[in-house]
Amino acid sequence: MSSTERAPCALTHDVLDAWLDGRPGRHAAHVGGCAACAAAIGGYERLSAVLRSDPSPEPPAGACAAVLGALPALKPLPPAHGWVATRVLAPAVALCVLAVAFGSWLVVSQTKGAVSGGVHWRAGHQPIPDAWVVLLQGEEVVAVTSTSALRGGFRFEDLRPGRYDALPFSACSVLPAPVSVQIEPNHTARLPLFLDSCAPVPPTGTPVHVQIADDRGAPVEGALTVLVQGGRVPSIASANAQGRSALLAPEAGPLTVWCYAPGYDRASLDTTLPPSGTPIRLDLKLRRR
Amino acid sequence: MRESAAGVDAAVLGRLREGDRSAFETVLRVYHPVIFRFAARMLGDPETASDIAQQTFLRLHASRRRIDPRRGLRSWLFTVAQNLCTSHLRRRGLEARALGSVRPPAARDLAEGVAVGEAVREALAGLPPDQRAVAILREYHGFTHEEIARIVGCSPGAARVKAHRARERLKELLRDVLD
Repeated sequence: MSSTERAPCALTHDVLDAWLDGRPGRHAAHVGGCAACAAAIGGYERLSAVLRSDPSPEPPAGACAAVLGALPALKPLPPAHGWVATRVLAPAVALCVLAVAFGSWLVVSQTKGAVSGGVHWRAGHQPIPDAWVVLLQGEEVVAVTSTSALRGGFRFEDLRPGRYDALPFSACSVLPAPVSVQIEPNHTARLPLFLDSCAPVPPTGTPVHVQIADDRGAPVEGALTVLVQGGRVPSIASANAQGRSALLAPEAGPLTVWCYAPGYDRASLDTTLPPSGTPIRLDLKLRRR
Repeated sequence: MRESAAGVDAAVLGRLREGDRSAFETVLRVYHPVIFRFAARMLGDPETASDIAQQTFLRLHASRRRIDPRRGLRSWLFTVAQNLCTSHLRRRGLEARALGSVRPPAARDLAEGVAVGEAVREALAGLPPDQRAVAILREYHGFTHEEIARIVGCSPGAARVKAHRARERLKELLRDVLD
């Protein structure tokens, strides 16, 4: 028999609220003597049992690795300044700095712009999820991002006004030409980017291990490495915490590795692969801006 | 039932804000399956749920310095995932389809061997997205109404009303399973 067929109780709604909030004891005494409330709770408990009998869906294997692979490098926050330790002058100095910082932030935040868009295949205009977009100003790599997994979208924010070049990359594509974009203050520029696909690259070839370091020898985590061979891009990778990237060159012969890391100049390295298929190691130095 | 992950927030968030990659990996390992399950139940589509979970963690990475520690990492992740799921459903126009077309599983179907799990998924898909989110957050993730209200962006009272309506609709949709 359902609760609606019993004598109604004015407290039923409160009783169910308490039960849903995980506080069933609040009305325990009342529920013990009220058939309507007991039936209502029984109905809710049965419903919960049925809902929870549905087994939990499990994520596909390798999902976490895919997220990590799509990440740009985690950059630590800048270290604290020594003057913070100055006890006597700290409050006054901190106030002055805060005022100046706020003023600067106000000025800068009102003079920066953004750019957003998507990367698509030129034929068919299908979005390319997990592609990469590099933003350059001259030789300097300003930012690197991967496109969203759903719509192939990207966005760069906090950009100083000026002219930038954007380069999209995706494996199995023809080497793209840079696309210029003008950033205006307080404005988001739209930038659709297109790639031409090439024939699928076979999953065999010569492993190319690239070690990326800055001019002091420190590994550059998250640097984007792009392997270029015969005018196409067969392989892309992001450097791990040790600054290592693993790429796969499908053919013997000349190849170029391009490297992009925010805050550094872009770099490239040319070499020739022997036909043996033996893995090779390349060292790339990045120059910090 | 609340996931055992809840305690990870405070310890890890500070390190995450400082750019500690291992902290991000810890959060990912603990919360990715949880967020995936939420999205999978919201959307009924594991492939899209995987995309939503990935986007949620990419946003965590991008916004890690702006997360309010008082709000809690778990709530923050669910809020982002819920918003992404709602946007996805809105884009695809699934709300209208789900409201209009889902029917309660008939006794005949159940007798023919349709699993209870399938009936549950079909019933959840029959709820409007806001009620579905509230029901899933309450039933499968153990959030209180105050927490649910913050995640879905409504008052605690409105969250309670949505929860009651969701349960009444679920009871109706699962009538043959419950009887």
